[in-house]
Amino acid sequence: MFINRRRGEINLKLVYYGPPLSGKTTNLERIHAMAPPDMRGQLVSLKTHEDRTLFFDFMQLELGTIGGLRPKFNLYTVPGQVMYSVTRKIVLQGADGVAFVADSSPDRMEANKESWEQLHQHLQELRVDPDTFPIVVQFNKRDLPDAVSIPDMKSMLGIDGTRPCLEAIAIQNKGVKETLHTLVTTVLRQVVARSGTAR
Amino acid sequence: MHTTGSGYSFEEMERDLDEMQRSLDARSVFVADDAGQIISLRPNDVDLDVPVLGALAVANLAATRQIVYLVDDGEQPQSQLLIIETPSGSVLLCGADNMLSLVVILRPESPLGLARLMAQEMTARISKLPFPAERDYRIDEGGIDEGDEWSEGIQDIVDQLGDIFS
Repeated sequence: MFINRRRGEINLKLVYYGPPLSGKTTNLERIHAMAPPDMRGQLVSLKTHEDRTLFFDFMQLELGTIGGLRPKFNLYTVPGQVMYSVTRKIVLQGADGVAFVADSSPDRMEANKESWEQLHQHLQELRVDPDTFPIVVQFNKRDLPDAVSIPDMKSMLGIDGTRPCLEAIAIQNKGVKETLHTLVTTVLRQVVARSGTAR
Repeated sequence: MHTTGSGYSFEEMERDLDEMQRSLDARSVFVADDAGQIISLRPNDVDLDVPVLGALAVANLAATRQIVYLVDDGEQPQSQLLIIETPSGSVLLCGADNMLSLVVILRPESPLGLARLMAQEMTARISKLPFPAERDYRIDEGGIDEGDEWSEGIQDIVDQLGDIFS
């Protein structure tokens, strides 16, 4: 986070993280489509020729002036594929909060678990405590007929009651803005709560 | 808060960026942090998508650092300079050793040799900027306390976020 008093700006870096094909890029595409044109920047996607994320997707939300401040949210996705571990760590660098997008399909549970564990590992390597770092979990693809139950997914990931969790069907726009809202709120509340340590 | 460097201020940096941009007649000169967030920009009204450029430039430098790390068996480069030639000029990406990055966007007629020298000098100065080297709240002047105007402003943002996309 960079707080620039001279410019009256608060810059936040928010990263959508998760296993391959869980819907990270879809979340960003929906946010971009929903946001008023005067509040959103260009959605940039660095993709492979197979339309898979190669490095990251990026867009900036600039919400005008609220309470005398100009919040700017820089939204990123990471590439989900296993081989892009180093790239995910690069994108995570300097992040203020993460939305972990989990796939509700039964055959993706192991991928969810691996990605969740790698997120924790990357944060620790970046000297960030995963237990206090703002992470919001989005259980995506809830429309699948055989979707794993939320309690089972939470149990599998080892998520306790304090971690914010939301259900979503990102491709239908459901739960997308709620996830972003929860993430931004969680991050901003920490700003004031922890600001005494920033001096 | 962990900081690196000393003896160089934000005010001095902004003044030097201003002078650099004018001397080179550059389209834009800006500094971004390791998250790709823009710290300072000259000129302020540049006709470029600076947020996207910041994100791409910092990612490019981070990827290059990782390439050097892999090729050179674990060595970490202290400073970097990448030059990208485009049909409409050149782009210089410079990584300082406190995780800040300098980006210089030149016109075709801009002197590339001089720009390279100035960018290297500017990067050395930026490295002295007292900037947090580790993740923390990066506040250029002071913090935020309960009850001050920033605290109230942040609360307003939280309160109004729910309406923004509706």
